[in-house]
Amino acid sequence: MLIVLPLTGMFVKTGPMEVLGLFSDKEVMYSILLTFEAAFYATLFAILFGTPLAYILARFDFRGRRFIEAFIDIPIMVPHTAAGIALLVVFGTGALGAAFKSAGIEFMGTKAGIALGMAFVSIPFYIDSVKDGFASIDPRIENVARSLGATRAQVFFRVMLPIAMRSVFTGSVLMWGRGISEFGAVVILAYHPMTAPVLIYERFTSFGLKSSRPVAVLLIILCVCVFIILKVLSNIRLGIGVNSKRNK
Amino acid sequence: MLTVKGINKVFRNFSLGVDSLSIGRGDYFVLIGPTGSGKTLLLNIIAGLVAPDSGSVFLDELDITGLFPEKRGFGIVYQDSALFPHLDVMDNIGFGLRMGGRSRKQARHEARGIMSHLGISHLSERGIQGLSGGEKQRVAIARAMIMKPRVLLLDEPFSSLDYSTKEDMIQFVKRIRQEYRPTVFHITHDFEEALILADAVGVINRGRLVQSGSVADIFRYPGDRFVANFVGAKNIFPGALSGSGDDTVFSTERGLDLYVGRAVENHVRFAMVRADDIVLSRSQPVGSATNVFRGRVTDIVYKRGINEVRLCLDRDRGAEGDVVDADVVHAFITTRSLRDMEIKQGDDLFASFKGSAIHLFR
Repeated sequence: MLIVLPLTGMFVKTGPMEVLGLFSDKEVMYSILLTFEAAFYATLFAILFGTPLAYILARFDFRGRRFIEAFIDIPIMVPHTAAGIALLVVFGTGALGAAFKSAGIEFMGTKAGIALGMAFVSIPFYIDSVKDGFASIDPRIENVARSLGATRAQVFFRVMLPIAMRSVFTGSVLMWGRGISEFGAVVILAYHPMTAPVLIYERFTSFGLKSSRPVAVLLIILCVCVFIILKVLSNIRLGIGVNSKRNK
Repeated sequence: MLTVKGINKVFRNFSLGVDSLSIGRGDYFVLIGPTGSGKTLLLNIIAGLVAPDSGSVFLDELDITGLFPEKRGFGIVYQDSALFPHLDVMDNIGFGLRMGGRSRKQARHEARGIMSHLGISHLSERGIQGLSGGEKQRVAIARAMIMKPRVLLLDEPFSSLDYSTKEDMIQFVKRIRQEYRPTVFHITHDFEEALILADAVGVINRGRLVQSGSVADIFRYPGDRFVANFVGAKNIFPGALSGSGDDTVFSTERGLDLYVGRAVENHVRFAMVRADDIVLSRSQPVGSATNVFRGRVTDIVYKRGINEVRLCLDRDRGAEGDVVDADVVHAFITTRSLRDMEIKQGDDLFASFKGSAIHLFR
């Protein structure tokens, strides 16, 4: 009820023409594409760096592992505006920010800043999902692979990653979706260019409920559509993919 | 030749210590021990998956202790086969060749070759998920053997199979032995597997190798109570020696005198008579048997092709013939003899054995 009621209520109150009309609203279209794109980059970052980290956390027992695990989950706990402030301090003004700036990357008011905000608050979802995926694989499968001549790197890329592909995919979708919906951290780092959640907020504060509602509905519809497409894709690619090999 | 020397490994609150263990090239060695005895840890050390705290593993005089598992050329087959779930049967078998740089086509071609050689071609078109336990093990063994491993490590390979599948698998492994003559290190908690397959056996308990030798040696002359129990020995009596030379007698704690008839070490604490060394007869036996006891049949159990007759000795029966806390003698007898002698529960019989059948140990 908690989930269904507000969603349907909003759909009922908003006419389809209002929503369709938004497709010619350049500002809305731009912000939605920007949101999707920035979340995609954030997810890409997580796949590149979070996947090896998730593997290490799932497989190696070392001093400080639990600390790192707890540390990764911190972004889930802290208020996202506070996370945004922290990122701003480090990447916007600090030495790290200056270093990135000299490399041509700025985080304040840029796409990179948006992606950074999204990545910071949603990467725990990715790492936790992929870590569980790796941890559920029998270590003896790795042992056998190594005995058959596979190096650690080969074991990771040829055995572990393909087996954990579903978790990687689920984690990516989860993180991407979580990135799209991020408001707090993003708004601190980049009010402009406006992501869809920021735009909704701005329209709400400047023009009121009636003006922000269609944007919100459109964003929800698009997110749900993308989710359904990805879900179906993952079933075809990974689910039936395994089955089709059986009939080869 | 695979040699393990002075291996020590402390793992949480378990410690493994194996002073010396050698397996000749092409020999089939079975390490038996109960769950938690450290046999898997030793296997992992030999495989290079776990580094020992001290000690070395040698292959043909070459110290391979620090060598990565992928450089050892050892094959591993686990109890639950550990097949790669994302690959089909042929890609599983060809995996090692792929890692060695062979193309997928070539690897599958060679996989098909070994499958037909081992008589499992019918599995080549199958996915992993649909295979039975025995089929999975065959695939796992083929996957290891295609690499022509210098040592084949088997970790409880038959333990999750039902009885008849296990029999088939043992035949399959025997065939692998004949075809490839690999050096095998096989761990199990089942002594029967060792009886059928092994050239040499080691018994491990609480992280220590308690006895090793030929199957027959361990089976007939267990070195201590643990090994005796583990190899399924019956008729183990605690007690002490008296007399000397030809008059040596072992008196059990419950007062049974066994005539050993030969000089033995003095500090033995147990006497054992194998159930298949005991002869049952209806009348007082004549001949060389020096130990003869009369008893009543309390139970006959048929197991694995042989009948175990349990005899409660007469001297333990109370006034009304009730059996209270008695010495029981177990004897094996074929079904044919059982029928010929018409033995049934409640019969009074003589159990006899020679002094030479008595094995004494600490």
